[in-house]
Amino acid sequence: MRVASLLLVVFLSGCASKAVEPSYYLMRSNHALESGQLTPSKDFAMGTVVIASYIDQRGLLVETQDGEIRAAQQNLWAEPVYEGVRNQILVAIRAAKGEHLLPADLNRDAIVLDIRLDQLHGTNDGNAKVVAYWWLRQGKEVLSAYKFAEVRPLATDGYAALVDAEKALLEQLAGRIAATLVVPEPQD
Amino acid sequence: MTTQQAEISQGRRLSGIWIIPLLALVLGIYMVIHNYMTEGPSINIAFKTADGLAAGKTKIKYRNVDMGLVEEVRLNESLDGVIAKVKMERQALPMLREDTRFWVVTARVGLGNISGLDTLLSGAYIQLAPGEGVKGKRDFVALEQPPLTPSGAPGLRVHLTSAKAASVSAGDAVLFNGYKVGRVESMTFEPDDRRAHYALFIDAPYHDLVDSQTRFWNVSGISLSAGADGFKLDTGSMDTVLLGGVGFGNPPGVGKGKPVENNTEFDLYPSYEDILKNPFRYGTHYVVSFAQSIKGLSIGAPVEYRGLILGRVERIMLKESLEYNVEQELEGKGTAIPVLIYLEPGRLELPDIPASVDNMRESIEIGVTNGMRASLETGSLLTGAKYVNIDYFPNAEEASMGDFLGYTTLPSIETGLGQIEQKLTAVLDKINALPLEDTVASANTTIMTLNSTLASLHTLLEKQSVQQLPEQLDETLQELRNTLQGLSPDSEAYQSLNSSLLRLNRTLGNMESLTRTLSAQPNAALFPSKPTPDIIPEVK
Repeated sequence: MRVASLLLVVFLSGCASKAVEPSYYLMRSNHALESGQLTPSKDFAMGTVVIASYIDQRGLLVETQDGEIRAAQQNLWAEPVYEGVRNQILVAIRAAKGEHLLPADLNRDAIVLDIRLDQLHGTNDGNAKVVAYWWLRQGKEVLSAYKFAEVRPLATDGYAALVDAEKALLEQLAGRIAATLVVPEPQD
Repeated sequence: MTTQQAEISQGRRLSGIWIIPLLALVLGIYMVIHNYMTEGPSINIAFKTADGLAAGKTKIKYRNVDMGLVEEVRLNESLDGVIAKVKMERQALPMLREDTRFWVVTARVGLGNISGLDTLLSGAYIQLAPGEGVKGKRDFVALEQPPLTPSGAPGLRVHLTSAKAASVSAGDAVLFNGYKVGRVESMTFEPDDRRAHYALFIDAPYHDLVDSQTRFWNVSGISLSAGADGFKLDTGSMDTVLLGGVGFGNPPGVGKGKPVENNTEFDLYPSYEDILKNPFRYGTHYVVSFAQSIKGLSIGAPVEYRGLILGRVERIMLKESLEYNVEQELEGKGTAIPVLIYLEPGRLELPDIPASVDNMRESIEIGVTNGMRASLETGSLLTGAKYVNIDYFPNAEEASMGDFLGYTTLPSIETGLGQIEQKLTAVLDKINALPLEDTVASANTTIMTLNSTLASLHTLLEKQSVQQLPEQLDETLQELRNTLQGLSPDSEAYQSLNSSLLRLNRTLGNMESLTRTLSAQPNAALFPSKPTPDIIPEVK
């Protein structure tokens, strides 16, 4: 009996191997942390942030040499992508406009900002790529619509550099969005 | 025997005593020739009566110079007049022409003047007015009245006609803007055309005021008219008030015409207002047939083209219509009523000449092919007066011009109020035909049933259990609101649920990854393989 137990331990220990720990990345703005009172925007509110379904997965996405999109197994987002995108754009807009965009159901008279993120991945030529659309609407009437499509080269090899490049592109997108948040002139 | 020889001796020489008869003969022949050479001609002048004429006494005068003497006065062969044989002076010979006129000058008292008073003492005489025609005439007809215009006087003689004899007579003044420029020479009534004829003479230089567009009207007497703005009194000068007269001029809006020749004929209008109503001389007739009520359409009603008066209604041809219907066997079929209209091109500012009438007829003929139609329109809703309107109706049914008793026909169309009236009548007929009594009876039954239902409902609502329903419903809604508030994004339950869903999502993601691994390597749970390394993004 003792001999059988010893053999089993030896056998199992032979099959065991060390598990690889995945890396988690957080999509957050790099703006300086500060505490204080938020100033809600009276004129604008945050609507929906919709992301393309291929982006909505845990692994970071990279385009292979063959043009395929492959999700990383060990380099993962720490939270659902849409939450990270939404948070980063909200913070960047607040930094640019000085006002915080409340959810649309808390400010029903405001002009609502809707965003669709169409592409977010690393390309096979060493860039990060972001394609997004956004529009401003009042009720069901669309007041204006815009498009953003930019790439940014990676600073170094690796997923950390890819995340940094994607965050920088989203920061750039938020800046463009903030520039379009202008109350239209009343018509005669 | 002695032979006796005849002794031839010369005849006696003419006695000197014969000188005297010869001288007398020569003298006589001279006297005859002289008398023939110096004696004037004898002429015959016909008079209706011998009033004022006396053989051997009555003289012929020209410019108060004796020109002859009446030698004999006798009845003519038909005994309806007298002939005066007059011995004229030789110097009067050139005056005896075909248009030389004679008349008896005697004392005359007229409305306008008194003349010939000097003849009361000196006796009547015959006045000679030399003519300008062909010489050699010896038989003349004397004028009954002295001529009003001297022969050869410069001016213009025109003739007027009117259907009704106006209060105008010979000697009356002819006025232009109230100024006397001529006179009426004669007035006659011709039974042939049943019209009164007037001869007017307009002195030079005023005859230039008359042209082809000139209208003449009666200014005699006093015209009193009453209108909405009160009474209106129109008179000419005092002598026209007393004696009558004729005015003339060109109507406003009618341009200057062409010069006219002597003896041109014009119409004499009853008044200036009549000219203003109908200032144009040339126009044309059409017949328009209306298959609708023509109530309100009167004689003289305007005919308009897009609001412009183009003419007037002259007659409603009822009599002709009846005769025509009998002839065409259309009697009793409710045929359209023909209306005679008169259109004047001058009203469209075309020249008032016959050529404009032809142009207008051609235009109308072309217009009809393009939808021109006549319609009956209501001019005044208050009085119901109607007028004939001519306009284009592009959607009108095809029609053409025709002929009705010698008049050209203009196709008509029913429009406007007439059409509305017909449609309204049709609607009213339909309303009349509705089974209103049955409907009302049915409605009454329905109302009674409804009353019964309402009473039942009232009884039901009065029940306590039903009255408590709103309170219970309110309580239920309040509970539902409380429940939903517990699930709002700010609630603890929502946060907890959201967190659970996130974890569930993550678990499902892991499960998906596990399933994929086991599919690729079923013994991966016992013998985990080394995971495939991720593709490392590289800087290019």
